[in-house]
Amino acid sequence: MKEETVKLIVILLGVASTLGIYSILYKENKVFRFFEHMYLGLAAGYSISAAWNDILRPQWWTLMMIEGRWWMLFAIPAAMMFYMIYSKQNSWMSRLIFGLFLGATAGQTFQSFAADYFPKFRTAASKAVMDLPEVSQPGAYGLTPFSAALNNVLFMVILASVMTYFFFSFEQKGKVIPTVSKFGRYTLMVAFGALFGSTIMARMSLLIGRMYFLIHDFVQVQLLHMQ
Amino acid sequence: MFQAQHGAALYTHLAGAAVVSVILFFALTLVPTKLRRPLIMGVTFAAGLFYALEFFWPVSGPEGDQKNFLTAYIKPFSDITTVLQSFALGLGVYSLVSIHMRKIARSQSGWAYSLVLVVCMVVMVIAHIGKEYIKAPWVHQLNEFAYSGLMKSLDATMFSIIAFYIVSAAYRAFRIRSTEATILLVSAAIIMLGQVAIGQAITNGIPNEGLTANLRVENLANWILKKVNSPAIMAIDFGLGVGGLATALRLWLSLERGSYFEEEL
Repeated sequence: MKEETVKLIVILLGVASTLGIYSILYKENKVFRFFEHMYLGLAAGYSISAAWNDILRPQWWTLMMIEGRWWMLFAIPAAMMFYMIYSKQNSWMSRLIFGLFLGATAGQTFQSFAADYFPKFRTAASKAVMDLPEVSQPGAYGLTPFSAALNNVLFMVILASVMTYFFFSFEQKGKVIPTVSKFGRYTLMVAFGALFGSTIMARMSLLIGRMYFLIHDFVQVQLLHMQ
Repeated sequence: MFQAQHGAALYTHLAGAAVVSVILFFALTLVPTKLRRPLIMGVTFAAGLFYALEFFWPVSGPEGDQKNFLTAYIKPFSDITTVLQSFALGLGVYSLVSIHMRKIARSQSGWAYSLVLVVCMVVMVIAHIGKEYIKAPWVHQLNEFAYSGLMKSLDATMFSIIAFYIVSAAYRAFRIRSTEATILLVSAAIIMLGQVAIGQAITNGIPNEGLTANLRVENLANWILKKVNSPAIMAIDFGLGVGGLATALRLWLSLERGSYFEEEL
C-alpha cells in the first residue's frame, strides 16, 4: 500500500471515529455504541502492548534472556500468585502478593511524606518572609517589596485557613476558628472556580483540536486539496 | 550465587530456577490455615520495613550522595514491583475478556459490540507489539490504522465530548445562590477570560507596567492561580498526605479491618 493511501485511510478512520463519537450529542445510537466498544478494545489492547513494550520487555525479558539475570524468572511464580485469586482452595496466596504491595506502598508513603511534604511546607513558610522580589524584577508588575511580602503572607494565611476548614478532630466552636474556617471555605471556592475554569479551557482546546482536524485535515486538505 | 549467566549455562540456571519455583509454589499450597494470616502479615510488614529502614538508617558518604546499606536495593526492588504490577494487568484483561466472551458465546443482547471490543483488543496487541519484532510493512500499516487512525482520534474525541456536557454542569454550578457560588463563578470567569485573547482584550487598555497592571485580566488570573489556588490545593494535598500516612500505618501493621482483611483464609 502506498504511503499516501495509508495517510488517507488514517484520516478517514479519524473522521469516522470522531463523527461516530459525536453522534451521541444527538441521541443514544448504535454508531456511538460501536465506536465506544472499539475504543475500549483498542485502549485495553494498548495497555497490554504498552505493558510489554515499555516495562516487561526492557525491565524483565531483556534482563533475563539477554543480560543473563536468570533469577528474574522468580517473577513468574510471584506473578502467578495474583491469579490464585481464582482458585477456591488457594486464593489466600493472592493476598500474600497483595500484602507485599500494600507493605511496599505503605513504606513508600512514609518516605514520600517525609521527603516531599515537609520540604514543601518549609519552602512555603520561608517564602513568606524571605522571597521579596525587587520592584524591577520581570513579572513583579510594579509590586513593592511590601506588597510582595503581603502576597506571601496571604499564601500562608490561605494555607492555614483551608487546613483549619478540613480539621474535623474537634467541634469548631467559638469565634476565631469558625471565622478562619469560613475564610478557608471561601478561598477553596476560589480554588475550585480556578480548577473548573482551567478544566473547561482544557476540554475546549481538545474540542478545537478535533474541529481543526475535521475542517483542516479532512475538508480543506483531503477534499478541497487546499494547503 | 546470583551471577549473570550466558549461553547453555543461562538455560541450565533458568531450568533450575523453574524447578525451585514449582517446589516453592507447591510448598506454599501446603501452608496450614492457621499460619496463613501471620505469613501475609509478615510479608506486608517486611515490605514496608524495607522502605522505613532505608529512610531512618544513618547514611554516610559525600554530600548529595549519602547512602546506607539498603539504598542500593531501592531501585531493583522498585523495578521488580513495577514488573509484577505489569503481570497483574492480566487480572483486568481476564475479567474484561471473560465477560465479553461469555456474552458472545450466549448471544446475549449487544454481543456484536462485545465482539468488536475483543477483535479490536487483539488487533491492537498484534499491531503494537508486532511492530517491534516484524519488519513486514503490513504490521506497521495495521499499527498506523489502529493507533494513529482510530485510537488517537477516539481518545481525543471521547475527552473533548466533555466540553459539551460541561456547559450544563457550568449552568448548575454558576447559578448564583450563595456567596460561595458567586466566588466560584467570579474565579472561574477570570481564569477563563485570562486564557483567551478576547478576554485579554477587555483589559488591554490598562498599561502593562506599574501597579495598575495588576488589574489586567491575565495578571488577575495568574495571581489567583499562584497565590490562592496554589496554597488551597497544597492544604488539600497535605490533608491527603496525612490521611495516606495514617492508612499506610494501618496497612503496614495489618491493623486494617473490613471485609477484605477479615475474611477466612
